[in-house]
Amino acid sequence: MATPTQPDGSERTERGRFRVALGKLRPDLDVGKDPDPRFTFANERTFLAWARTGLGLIGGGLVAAQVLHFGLGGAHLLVAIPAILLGGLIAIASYRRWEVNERAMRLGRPLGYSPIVRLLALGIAVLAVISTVLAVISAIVR
Amino acid sequence: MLAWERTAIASLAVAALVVRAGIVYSLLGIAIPIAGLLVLASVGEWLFGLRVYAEHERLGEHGAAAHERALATLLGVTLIAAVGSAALAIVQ
Repeated sequence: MATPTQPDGSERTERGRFRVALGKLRPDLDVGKDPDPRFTFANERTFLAWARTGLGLIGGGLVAAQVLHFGLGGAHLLVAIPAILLGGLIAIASYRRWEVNERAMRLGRPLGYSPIVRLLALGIAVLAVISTVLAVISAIVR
Repeated sequence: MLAWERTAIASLAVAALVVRAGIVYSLLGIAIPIAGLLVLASVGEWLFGLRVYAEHERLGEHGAAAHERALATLLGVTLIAAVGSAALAIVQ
């Protein structure tokens, strides 16, 4: 496999390419000025709280897959899989939110609204409806 | 620091649930790598919490650092746990 040549004439190794790709994933936070440390830590704590919510949903989904038995074939997966996926989605959205907030604080801009709150509320409501419907159908069938 | 440690405990709890699911469904081949990753993440989060606490002492000189790598790693581990958990739930 050919290794691309760099402007200085050197060749980029596999490891070098991987580091460049990783660098592109890093948020661009070299803007504006350092915010008050309390705000940086508060933003990080908010992200961690969302991460725990995501982990909780993943754990809850796993428990639902093992414990729930509606007597309707694989119906329990209708509760388990959305909960696990919602956990993953919340992890992604909360990271994005942390990045957007960090940039806004550095630039002295307003923080704006978080779409994660709506996502979580909607997701839990959907899970509640699915669980209720399945529980009622299961009770009728039995 | 406490927020990091709470997250570490949550990661450990999910690791335990993943192992349990692996045992119940006889899918330890999927469960053990995911649980191992979560346990490693948990140890990392705990140690990182200690580092954040130590950073507090130097805030006056440098300001608070944005821990983007640690947060991105946590995001990655959570996503792997989500995919693995979904696989465990489906391939039972």
